[in-house]
Amino acid sequence: MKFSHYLSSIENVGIFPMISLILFLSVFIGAIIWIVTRDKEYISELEKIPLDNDNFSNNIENKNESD
Amino acid sequence: MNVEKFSYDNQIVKLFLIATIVWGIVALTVGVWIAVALYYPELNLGLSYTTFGRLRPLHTNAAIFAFIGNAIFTGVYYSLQRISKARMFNDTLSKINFWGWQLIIVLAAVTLVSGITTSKEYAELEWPIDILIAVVWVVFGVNMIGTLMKRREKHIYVAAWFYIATFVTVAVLHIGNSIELPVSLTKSYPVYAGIQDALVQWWYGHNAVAFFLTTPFLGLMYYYLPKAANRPIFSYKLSILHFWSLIFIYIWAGPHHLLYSAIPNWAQSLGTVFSIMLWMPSWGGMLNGLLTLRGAWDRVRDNPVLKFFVVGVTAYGMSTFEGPMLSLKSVNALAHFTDWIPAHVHVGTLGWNGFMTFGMLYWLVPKMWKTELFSKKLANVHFWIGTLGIVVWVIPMWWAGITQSLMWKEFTPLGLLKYPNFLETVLQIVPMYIMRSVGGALYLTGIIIASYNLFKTMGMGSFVANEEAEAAPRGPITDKLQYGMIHRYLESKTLLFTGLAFVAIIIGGLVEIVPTYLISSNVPTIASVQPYTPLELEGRDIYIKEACNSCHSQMVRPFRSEVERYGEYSKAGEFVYDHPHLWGSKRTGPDLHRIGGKYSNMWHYLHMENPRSMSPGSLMPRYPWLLENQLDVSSLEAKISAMRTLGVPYPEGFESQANAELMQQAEIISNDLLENGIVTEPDKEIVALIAYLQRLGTDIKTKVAETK
Repeated sequence: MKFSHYLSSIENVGIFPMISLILFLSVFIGAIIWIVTRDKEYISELEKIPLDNDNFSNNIENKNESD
Repeated sequence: MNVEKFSYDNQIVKLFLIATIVWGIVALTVGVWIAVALYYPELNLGLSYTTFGRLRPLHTNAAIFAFIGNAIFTGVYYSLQRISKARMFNDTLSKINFWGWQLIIVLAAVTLVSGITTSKEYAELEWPIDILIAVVWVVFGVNMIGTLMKRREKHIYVAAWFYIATFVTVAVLHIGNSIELPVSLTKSYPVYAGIQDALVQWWYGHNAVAFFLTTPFLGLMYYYLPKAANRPIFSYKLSILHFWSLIFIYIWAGPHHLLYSAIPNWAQSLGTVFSIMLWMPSWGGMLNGLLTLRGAWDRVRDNPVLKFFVVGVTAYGMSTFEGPMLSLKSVNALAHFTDWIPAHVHVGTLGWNGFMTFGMLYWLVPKMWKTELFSKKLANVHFWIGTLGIVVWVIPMWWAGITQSLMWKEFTPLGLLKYPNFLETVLQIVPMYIMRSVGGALYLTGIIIASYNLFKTMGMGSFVANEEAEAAPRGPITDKLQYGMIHRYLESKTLLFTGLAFVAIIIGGLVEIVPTYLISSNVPTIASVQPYTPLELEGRDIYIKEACNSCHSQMVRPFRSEVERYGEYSKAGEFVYDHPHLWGSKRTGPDLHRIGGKYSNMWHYLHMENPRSMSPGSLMPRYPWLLENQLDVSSLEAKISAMRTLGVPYPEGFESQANAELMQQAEIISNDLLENGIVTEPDKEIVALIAYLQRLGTDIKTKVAETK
């Protein structure tokens, strides 16, 4: 069909799967390396973001009430 | 320390929240309605607008994009502001997002019941609405990324990663799947045909599940579950690993919707392999959610929010186990086209999306209205009635699916089909259909109770539209070396991160689709396959308008039982002029790919008038209006020239003769009907539909006849 001609004119399209495999593996391995090299403090800082924030708002509320 | 004062926009969250409840009730009511229509076809009240074919896409679109879509916006607009310690980027964009989305929903409802549809599952809306969706979605994305860029919090919490992936991927999927050539304001043809259209459709369809029903809800889980349990997520590291695995792997798994179909075998295997791989990151998310409650399970007993979350996350685990299992070819051979698939889908939507949404609403409303929940008891009633509803919905459908499939495949010792009449296999499972509608009604009752409880809660409390807050501005990153530069740098650059997520999903998409365009052997051409005649083309558009493909497949799989029942199995080359493909995904009625020539014109005429006159006990609705309605040929010329632009080899100048040729063929059919005692004008819709049905799957028979 006509539409396919736009894509079939890509040269060396056979390299696509290889690029994607390499990219996938490198991101996956990269993520694992990143994970195992993190220190605990940093992770605990991150995982507390949703909780910290709430306490913060509560503080504001409390402060407003005491004003 | 320098502290900035600002306020969170709760008003926009409130709007989305109310829309979630209202559309939830609408979507589920339509769902129960069509569940009943499946065993009581007269329920359409004799109207075309309320037939199963037109209401089914209304139900799926309302459930996915109206109910769950508004729930996503509710959850994102609340949590994103908090994890960013910033107000939404722009209030006007927030409002455009809200009102634009509701406008899309209303337009969708009106057009779908009117039969204005592209027929592509979960993407049925026509091109003007598609453009509107793209615009509103980009507004949402700009608003979200803008918020993250002006955030005061140093880091981007993992929930926002899921939100960004959702935005990027849904944009790509929606645009990629909606490339269509308009014929008129309400009609278009997709540029892809046949197997390419099917691959693009299920690349979209599968990833709509992934990036509309999964990733945003994982993001919501990572915010609201820790909030409700008041403890951090079990493993932040796991959340990062399963995020990247999920977005990379999900995008490849689409072809598992097309196992044993006419798509190339390598694409089917690709779909299976990646579906199995997908099990791991999915369960990574589930376990991360459930293990967050370790040591706090006693709180689940008396906290309705946590109850909903626990069942929601468990349902996620169940359906993401079931999914890979269903994509094994041997299991798929049994389950595909049966009620097992809706059962699988509803574990996900009712259990995972629905219960996560309810848990979130029960947590948000008291929080935003600064009060307690009106009735914990009612919330518990909702929880139990909803859970029971899911069970009563899903188990009968598993049962029905396996029962019917085994009946389709059963042979007598003499080698004949034991149940040659398809209808027999349908009537066998009617009791399961009745139970399913009861399950749906229970679930609907639950959401009505929830809406009462939530609106009562709102009445008790006082809503603060702009919640005051303060935080220190985000300073420049100075501690790069201390923590490792790369990720910190990446994390601080919202746009760069968005770009990487885009690259991740676009590569998967390209690898799946590009090769089908390149390797000509993927679609072996069949010389005898010819374009549709003008009358057949119009008939096909009526087939699309009435959404016959909601219940009838056009894909005979290469099984002995199917070849015996329907005829020669379907070949890729037979669909090269099918813009769009109409393979369908569910056989509530029999496959129609080899229906051409099987019955007389008279049979089709009487069957459309009243299916029960030809097949006593049939559960198909009546289509008497097809006998009355004048065929609209006003856009025939535009249709022919659009098809030629897409590559269908109609000769130049064919448009001008198309009308005459159409009438010629119509008169042959109406004369044949007249000989059998049926008086009908040749310009009725039914004539065009008969022409199309009689053509279906006959091209390769022509070839066989010629070679003989």
